[in-house]
Amino acid sequence: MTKTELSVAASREEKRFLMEAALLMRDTDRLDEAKEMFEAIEPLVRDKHLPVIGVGTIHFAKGDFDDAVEAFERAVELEPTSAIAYAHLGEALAFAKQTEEAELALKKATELDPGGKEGGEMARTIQKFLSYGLL
Amino acid sequence: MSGVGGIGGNFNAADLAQFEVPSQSGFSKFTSVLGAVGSAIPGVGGALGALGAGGANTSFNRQYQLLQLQNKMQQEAQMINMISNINKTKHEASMAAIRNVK
Repeated sequence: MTKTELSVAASREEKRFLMEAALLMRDTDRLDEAKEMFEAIEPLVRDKHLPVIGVGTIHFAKGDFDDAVEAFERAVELEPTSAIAYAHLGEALAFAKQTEEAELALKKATELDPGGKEGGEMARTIQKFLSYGLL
Repeated sequence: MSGVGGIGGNFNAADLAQFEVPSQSGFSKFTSVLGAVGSAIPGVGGALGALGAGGANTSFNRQYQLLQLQNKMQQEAQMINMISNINKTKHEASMAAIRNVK
């Protein structure tokens, strides 16, 4: 797949469709294709941190935790108020054995999303894992 | 976490109290006899006696192993439950983000 410049802006539905398709590819183990797709989506959306998180999850799925941390850190830079970016960063840091940093990132995610639907609950579940010493 | 509580509920003091001590198996009777015979033979008695003592405890050991196995299965079930919870919350958070993509 080659990157192409689109002269016509994609609609919100189309962006959503592309993101869901990339997630589906990832979840069906078509990791390289999913990564290319997330990378191709990045220029199309204003919420650039979302496809970057997608790329991070591909690294994570491959067990490349340092690369995953790098991608999630970029996502946090792009959108510093994104709980889901911090939750993913916390998880990747935990798997990269950077426990203290992981705890900080997870705490930040729960603070940003106390309701839990946008990453806060994910962060809390990983915090439980960490507190049981399972990571 | 309700799932973990549910699994934990299958393993309590009341259940443990219901464990019956099985009657002496053929093997443990045999090893008891070996122990007795061995005590009459110098040098052999110790080894056979130990084997006999082990045999007498076989049913208890088996119960202990069963409890250990049950405990291990419970821990694994809890672990699977937690992993599945992480995946569920991850998926929900991803879908929430995608729904609002701009």
